[in-house]
Amino acid sequence: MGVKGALSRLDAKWLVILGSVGVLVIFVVVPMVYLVINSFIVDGVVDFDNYKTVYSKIVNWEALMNTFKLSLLVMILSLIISFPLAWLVGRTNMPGKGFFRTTFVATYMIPPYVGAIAWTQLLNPSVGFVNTMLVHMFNLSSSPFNIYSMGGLVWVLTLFYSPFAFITISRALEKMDPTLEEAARISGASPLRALCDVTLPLMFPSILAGGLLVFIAAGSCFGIPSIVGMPAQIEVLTTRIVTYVYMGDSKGIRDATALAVSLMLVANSILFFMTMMLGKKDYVTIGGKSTRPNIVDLGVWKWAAVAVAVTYGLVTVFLPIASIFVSSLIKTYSQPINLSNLTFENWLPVIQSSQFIVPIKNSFITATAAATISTVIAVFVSYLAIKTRAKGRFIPDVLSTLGGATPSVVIALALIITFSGNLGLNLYSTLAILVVGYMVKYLTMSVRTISASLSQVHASLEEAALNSGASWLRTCKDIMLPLIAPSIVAGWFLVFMPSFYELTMSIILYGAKTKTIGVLLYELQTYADPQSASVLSVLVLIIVLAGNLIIRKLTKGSVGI
Amino acid sequence: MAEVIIQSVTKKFGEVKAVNDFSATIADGEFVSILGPSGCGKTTMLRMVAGFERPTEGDIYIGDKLISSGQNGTFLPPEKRNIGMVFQSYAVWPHMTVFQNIAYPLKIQKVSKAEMTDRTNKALELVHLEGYGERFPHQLSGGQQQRVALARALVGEPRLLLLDEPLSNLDAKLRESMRFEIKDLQKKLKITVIYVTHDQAEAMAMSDRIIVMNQGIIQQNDKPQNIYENPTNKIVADFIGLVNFLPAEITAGSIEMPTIGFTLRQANSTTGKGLVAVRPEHITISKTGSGLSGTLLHKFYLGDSIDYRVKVKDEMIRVIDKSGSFEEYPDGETVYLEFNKLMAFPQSGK
Amino acid sequence: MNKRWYVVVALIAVVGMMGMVFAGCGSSTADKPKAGGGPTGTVMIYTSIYPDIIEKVKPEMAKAFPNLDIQWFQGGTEKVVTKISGEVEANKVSADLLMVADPSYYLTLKERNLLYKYDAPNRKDVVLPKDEEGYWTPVRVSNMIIAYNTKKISAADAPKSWQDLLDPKWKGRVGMPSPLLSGTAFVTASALSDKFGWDYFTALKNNGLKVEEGNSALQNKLLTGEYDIVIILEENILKMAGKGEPVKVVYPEDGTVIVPSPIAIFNSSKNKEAAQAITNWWLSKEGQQAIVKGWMHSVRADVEPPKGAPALKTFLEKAAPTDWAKMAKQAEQIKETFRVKILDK
Repeated sequence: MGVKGALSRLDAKWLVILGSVGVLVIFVVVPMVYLVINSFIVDGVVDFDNYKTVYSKIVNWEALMNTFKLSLLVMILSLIISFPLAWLVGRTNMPGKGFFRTTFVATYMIPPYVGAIAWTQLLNPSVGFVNTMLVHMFNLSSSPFNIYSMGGLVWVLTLFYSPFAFITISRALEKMDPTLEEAARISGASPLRALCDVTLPLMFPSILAGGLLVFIAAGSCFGIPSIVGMPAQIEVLTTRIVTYVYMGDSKGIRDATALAVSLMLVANSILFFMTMMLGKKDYVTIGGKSTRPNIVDLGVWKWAAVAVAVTYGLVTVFLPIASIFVSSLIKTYSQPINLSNLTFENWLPVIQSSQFIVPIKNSFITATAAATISTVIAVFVSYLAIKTRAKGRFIPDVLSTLGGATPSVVIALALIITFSGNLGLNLYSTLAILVVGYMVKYLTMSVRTISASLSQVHASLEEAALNSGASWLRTCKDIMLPLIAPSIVAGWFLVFMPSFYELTMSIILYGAKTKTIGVLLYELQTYADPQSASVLSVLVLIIVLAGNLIIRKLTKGSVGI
Repeated sequence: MAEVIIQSVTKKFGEVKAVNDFSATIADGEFVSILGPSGCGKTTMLRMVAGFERPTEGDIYIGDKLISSGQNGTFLPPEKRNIGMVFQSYAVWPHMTVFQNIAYPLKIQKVSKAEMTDRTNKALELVHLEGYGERFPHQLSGGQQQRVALARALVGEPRLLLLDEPLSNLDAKLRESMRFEIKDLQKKLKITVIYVTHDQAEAMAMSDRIIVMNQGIIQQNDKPQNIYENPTNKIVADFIGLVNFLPAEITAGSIEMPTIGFTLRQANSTTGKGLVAVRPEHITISKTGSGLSGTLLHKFYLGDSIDYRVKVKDEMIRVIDKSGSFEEYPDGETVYLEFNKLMAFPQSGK
Repeated sequence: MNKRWYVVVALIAVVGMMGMVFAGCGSSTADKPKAGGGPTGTVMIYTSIYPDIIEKVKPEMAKAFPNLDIQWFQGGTEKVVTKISGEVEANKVSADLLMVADPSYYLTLKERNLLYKYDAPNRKDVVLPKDEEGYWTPVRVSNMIIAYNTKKISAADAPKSWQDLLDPKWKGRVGMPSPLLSGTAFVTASALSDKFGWDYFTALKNNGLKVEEGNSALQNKLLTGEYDIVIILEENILKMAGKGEPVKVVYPEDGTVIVPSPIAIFNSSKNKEAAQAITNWWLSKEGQQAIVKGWMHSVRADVEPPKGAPALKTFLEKAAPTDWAKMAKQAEQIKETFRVKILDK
């Protein structure tokens, strides 16, 4: 890490970078490494027995293959969907772009387990709402869709995680110097040709970064595969890992860790591969000149684009949200959905009782803290990896992926073991351990987003500021941060949102006074009525959308999603 | 062949008229600059010729072909216009080598491999970049990237070359040498050029004709010399070269300049309140008593000239003496000024 | 020098942000003892009892233990067990009392010397098998039963036994929770495989059995009609039926799976006095009535069954055998066998 060099000239730059890396190491790397080491040291003796048992089981290899296949399919599908949408929103004169921009990331604002349940209600083969409707409409002999399948799993995962790709790609599209494309046009290339020859290759780092985020998120997700994949008997790594954890003893934990290691390896080898590929090319597309994006006039196709966007929005966002909303109004699940079975009665107890105020406050505090700290770390870790020449500069970048590629339940265990005081820091049952948990899990989201954007900023912009006599920190504040501001906002949001409704870690790490929205949602969904859970989901969605809207208005659209 | 005719073109962005009723004809092989301060609409006009913007009103022809019309919606996309263009940011593609960058227009035209190599190498030679073909843009200096952009714009042998402030990102010395290179190339290739710049020296040095724009409107369209010597209004006078402005009362037979207490006998077509513009180099300064008297405040020795500041009554007048016969004037001495040439503009006129 | 200031400010900002978070969660404050006797201090209970029941019990317990700060951590059995696994690994169990569903887990804990022996006075009234030495005592009874949607299936037509589920007319219409992820499902798989052999589950699979994550998913899918019949916890169905939903419990003729969930005190408890008092309270008539209100059966003979359910003794004798010791020792094998036989394609 160039520590020697850094220590010999302890200037602001290296102190800040070292500080960020320090926080990363203490809170992210130590717990994960501690857990991994524990997985092969049993009573002080190195023992790879559990690795042998775990990896000698065919089912675990199948789960690994399924995970890989699934994540890859979800990634590809997400990119195929997100690029055109991001392009329409960022680079054309399609009407209602601001609205669609929010719509396309709205799936990310729905807690995945709530959304997955909504989809099973819509698309289950026996009584799925969409299925029965289609059967009636077209007089079909059987349900056209079966959510309990590999395809169904890919579909639901794609809807939840494609916003990663959309956000990363659309930020990059907007920041790209439009004259690069115009130069292609004037050289004789058609718009499509310019897209293929210039835009796509230049977007490559961002596309890869977005794709990797989708890959990691899909691969380490437990909620959706357990709800959608379980009835289809599709085992993925996370369901296998959770099975081991639920064995309820230290052997189970070691087995789970042994299996989780393969997920970390897969994610990191892909990250490594990606870095290698990018390393060869030096794409710098944010030049010195301020640019406004090159807006393509779609002409009459404008309305076709709107039709596509509306259809996509209806199917992917409106349908599940409507399903959740209707669930919140429904008197009983055992009756068909009609007016007599709808009521606002479910809303009253939730709105009147104060039980949701404390969790919302807790979730807001922890998610804000996790997002902010992650963003600060991400900026400097990315800076270290991309803008410096220090030895081993990529190591912290790679380390930040460790947590992202680990199933949440394993992270929760690691945090209990490391931060309950044995290593000198006792965060157990505090809000802080939740913050750390969210950070470990989602830090990679902000690192990937910010580093993709940082790699497009020309070094000369920073050098120019330094030459004008600005200190390094001043340069960061005045030049670097404003240039990558959209990505910082995006990265922050990508951490905030899942932290806000996080379930798996929270339910293990929460204490008597630190209940969060995710925990409450889980309780409502599991023990009370799912109707109340739907009410809370709708409330969360409203809070997030309203917050986003207010921030956008206050900052005149420069901040917000 | 590649005459460009722009007829009453107006471009609105919302309610703002970026270009307002622009008409001009650029003859085949002519080098025309569009000159004006930033935000005057010159780049928008160029982008309409290139096909990146559509005129709200008016027509644009290249040759005899209508390529863009605000009236009937005719629009030829940029890739079909056979135009070369160099952007201010160069827009050299970072993911392609120099060779690939330059060869790109030929690749699109599906030129044979051998011919492509041949023509690309010739283009490289033309911009003095022989041997740089395999490099990537980030390995080049700003000036070299600039030449790559130029070569790429020329390799397809376009009928029209558009240059959008191509030199503004270069250092002063390089900028000067590139001026001559571009002009030289243009003469060699006999290509029509529209050159957008805010640098009046650049426009003066290179152009056959200059179109001065301000706030979307053409102020003057003339030869460089005429623009300099006979600006049609005070905006042009102010933008081109240096100028002293003096408030004046213009009558049919005289121009009275109250702030310096001087009246000039001269026949005038317009009358009323106005402005007199005198270029510093059109004033003769002397110790002996003919002309207007004033007090010398400062002088700056510039090698080939001396730049004086002379206080005349209420005004500070700038004088540049390039005669070479430098007299010693101590600061504070009384000097006499003679206006060799002055321009009068009515107050209301633009 | 200027640079140094930026450094200081930046570091303070980073440290401050972390500090802010940690400061926001100060340790609990010790309340002053109120009037009245009983144990004092704090006690932490980890449980899988449903939160709505805990909320109802809280005021009653506050009355019984006015000077005690009782804290709850509530989650599904698997989640509580996971949390404890981590705490055991860190040697820092913060629970005083444990009230989760799976009895076999208590055998494991006892064997690892993590439990504290306590022969509560009220244990004498507990009619179900309990640990002889007093390490754990059943405190509530949950049953795994068959439930059906009365809108889809008539009472006459409904299955009467586990074997009835193999009837081809139910093909693809039956669901159960996964033994790999749900503790009660694990007990069911173990008990029924002991009784009928694994062939029973293979036959179920061949009859189109669907395996879901847990009881609540099944409950909702039974209501929506996605499944007609489910293997599920009795209390879920009693509660739904109590609300007037069209669901009904069948106590299989060939043996309900009875899960007597215990209460136990951790060896590491810092407030054993309070933990003992609470244990005894739960086993009292008062405590047991709270259990029954939560749609579970009491472990005492002198407490009424939950509303809408027959008395425990009416199906206790016919219960399917449950070998808790085997479940404790062979959990992994049992789950693995289920997975290979049922979940593998």
